[in-house]
Amino acid sequence: MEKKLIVTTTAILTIAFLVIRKDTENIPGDKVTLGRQLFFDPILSSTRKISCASCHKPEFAFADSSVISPGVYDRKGTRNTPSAMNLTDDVSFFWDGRAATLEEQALLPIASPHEMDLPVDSAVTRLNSSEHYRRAFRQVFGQLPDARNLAQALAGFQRSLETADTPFDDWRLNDNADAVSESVKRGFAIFNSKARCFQCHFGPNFNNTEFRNIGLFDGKILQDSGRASVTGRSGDLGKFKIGPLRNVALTAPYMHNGMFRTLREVIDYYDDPDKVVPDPINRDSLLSRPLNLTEQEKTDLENFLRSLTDRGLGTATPF
Amino acid sequence: MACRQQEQGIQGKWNSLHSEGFTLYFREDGTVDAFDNGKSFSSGFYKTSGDTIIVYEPNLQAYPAVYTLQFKGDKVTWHVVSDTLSGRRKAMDGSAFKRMND
Repeated sequence: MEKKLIVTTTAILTIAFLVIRKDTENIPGDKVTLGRQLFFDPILSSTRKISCASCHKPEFAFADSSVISPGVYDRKGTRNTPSAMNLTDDVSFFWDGRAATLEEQALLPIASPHEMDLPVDSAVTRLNSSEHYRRAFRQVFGQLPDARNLAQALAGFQRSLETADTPFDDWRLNDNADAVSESVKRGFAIFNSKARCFQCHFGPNFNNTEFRNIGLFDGKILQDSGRASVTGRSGDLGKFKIGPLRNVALTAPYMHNGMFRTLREVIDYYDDPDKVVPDPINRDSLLSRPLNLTEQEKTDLENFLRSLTDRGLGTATPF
Repeated sequence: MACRQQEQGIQGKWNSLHSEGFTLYFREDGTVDAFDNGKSFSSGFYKTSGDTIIVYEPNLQAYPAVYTLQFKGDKVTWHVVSDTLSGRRKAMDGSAFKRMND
C-alpha cells in the first residue's frame, strides 16, 4: 500500500514537473520570440480566428496570395497585403504611409474593423487574462501587457524579418558569377538602364522612402487616392509607397490593389502603362513614355527580380 | 613599393567605421557596389586619378560625385569635392572605412 502510494505520488510529481517545464519552455525570453508568438496567435482578433499571420503568411514572404485578404467574418478592405519583411529601414508604413513607426503600425490592424476588429484595450485585457502572456511580458519587459509593449513585441518580431541571402547578393558581394544566370545579369543591367526601375527602386530593399503615382488612379474605376487620403494634398492623389523588391517573386498579386497577378503583368504595365490605364490622373512623369522592352528584356528583368528571393524562404526559382 | 601601392588603392572591400554593416566593394573593372548588412545597396561605376575618385550611379552619366581619398594604413577617409546627391554626400563626406581582409 505504502509502495503504491509512493509510486503514485512520484508519477503525479513527475507529470506536474513536466507540465511546468513545458510551460516554462514556451515562455519567450526575448522580444522577438514574444512578438512571434503574438504574430501567430488569433487571440488578437475579435473572433479569435484571425492572427497577423493569417494575412502575412511566411510562405509568401509574409504577404498574401489573395488580392485582398479576408479579415474577421470574411470582411475585406481595399488594399493588397504588403510583405511584413525587410521593414527595418522604412520610415513609413502601409501603402499610404499613415504610420510613422513599426510600433504604430503594429496596433492598427488589430483595431481595424476589416482586419482583426479588436480594440487595442480589449486586446490588452485579453493578454492580461492569460497566465502565459502575463508571465511572458513580465519576463521580456518586466511588466504586464499594455498597448506599448504589445506594439514593441510585434515590431521587434517584424524587425527580425530581414533577408539578405539571395542569389543576387551572392553574385554582387562575393563575385559568385555562378549564383545567377546570364539572364539575371542582363536583367540587372536593364533594371539600371533602359527600364529606369532604379530611379525609384534603390537601396538595400530596392525601394525608397518616397510615394509615387504610377498611374493606377483615374478617379473612375481606380478610385483609391492613396497618400492623399492621409495628407489631404491634391499633389498626393494616387501616390503610394514604393514597394520593396526583395522576395517580390513570392508576393503576388501586385500593387496596392493587387490588380496584377504576375511579375510579367507588372513589367508589361511599366512597359506601356497607357495600354492598361489610359486616363490616369497625376501619373509620374517618369512613366510618360513607353519603355519598348523586347520580350527577351522582359524575361531578363523578371529573372532578375526572382533572383532577389531569399534562399531561406526555400522557393527560389532555379535559373 | 608595389605592395604599398596595392595597399593604398581603393580596390577591394571596405567596412564603414561610422555606420555598422555598411560595406563598399570596388572592383578592378571599375564597378562599385555598396552593401547594407549583406544586402546589395547600390551599384555604380568609379574612376580614380591620384587621390581623387569619381563615382557614378548605375547610369554612367548619372549623378557623378567627386571625392578625395585620404589613406592612412588600412583606413581611408572620404572628403567631398562635389556631389549633387545630398544623401550620399551626408553619408560619405568625412566618413572613414577600414579595408576588409578577404
